[in-house]
Amino acid sequence: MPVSQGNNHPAVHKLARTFGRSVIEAACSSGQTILTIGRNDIGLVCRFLRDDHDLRYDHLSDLCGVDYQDKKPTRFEVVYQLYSSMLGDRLCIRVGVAGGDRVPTVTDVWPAADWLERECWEMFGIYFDRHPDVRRLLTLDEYGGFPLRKDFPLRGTVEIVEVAEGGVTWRPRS
Amino acid sequence: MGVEEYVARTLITVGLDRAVNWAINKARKNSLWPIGLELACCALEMKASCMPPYDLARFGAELFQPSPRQADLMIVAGTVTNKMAPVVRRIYDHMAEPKWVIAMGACAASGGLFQSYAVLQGVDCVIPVDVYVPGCPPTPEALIHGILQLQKKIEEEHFSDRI
Repeated sequence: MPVSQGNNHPAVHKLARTFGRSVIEAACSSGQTILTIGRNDIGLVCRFLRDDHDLRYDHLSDLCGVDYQDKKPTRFEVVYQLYSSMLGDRLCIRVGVAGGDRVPTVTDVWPAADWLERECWEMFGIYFDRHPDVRRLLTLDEYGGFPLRKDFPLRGTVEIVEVAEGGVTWRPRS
Repeated sequence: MGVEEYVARTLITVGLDRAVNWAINKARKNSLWPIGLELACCALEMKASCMPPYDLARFGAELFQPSPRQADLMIVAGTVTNKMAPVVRRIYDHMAEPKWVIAMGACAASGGLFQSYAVLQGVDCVIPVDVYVPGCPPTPEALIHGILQLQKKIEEEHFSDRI
């Protein structure tokens, strides 16, 4: 694990002791600690951060995806913004995800993750394993494609021609 | 039947039809009950047009209805997203005839500045629109002008076209 200012954070020590190599990197930006965690352990790490008596990151304030189009080997990243109401401290966790990879869900740790993970899936196509209800959130159910990917055209690939009782009729956008 | 009788009866029929048409259209145009589809910032201007400085009540169109079944004018005020499009259509289908639609603002008319995957490029993709009010957002004066234009349109219609 590279040494940086972020290593002074109590969560970093605890995680490094418990999860070892899963903690890939700890950095500090503008006074906030940013941890990079291995994809497979994110569920366990999150549960640990929530339940540990000295940390108590009980609030998931945001979860979002990022698309670094040309980054190898992990094109995408899922970013978790945690808050501990006991410490009054924020923690940012990043998880690298390659196209097609699945990320363990954290809905069982923070129920607030439900809609956030749904949005992350619909916008970036990052699938969350064991998520209870994977459906599109902000676009129509039959909408194809993942709009916030960098290679998705701004105006989309289809447009609505007609809406009737039976449903929506689409056509390719010219 | 003599020619005179025929002409007289035809004239009377035509006259009656005109009179009924005139009366019904006057009633329709002076008591437009709108349902406001408040989708974005245009909704604030729409509300402002009902307030004392503008007073939409002067034109008989101040009674905003919470239910589409009691409304005969739909004012689509704001950005219609693709997700919202089926809902807009459904509300329109729930309105009883006669019904008219005003597309208020650039977004409702053409998608406005949101040339994006998520936004419907004009509400006329899903429902027929009678009057477009341009602006971003249109001022209350512009909306009132749109309603006056709609009143003119109603006056020129035949009442039986919208039953």
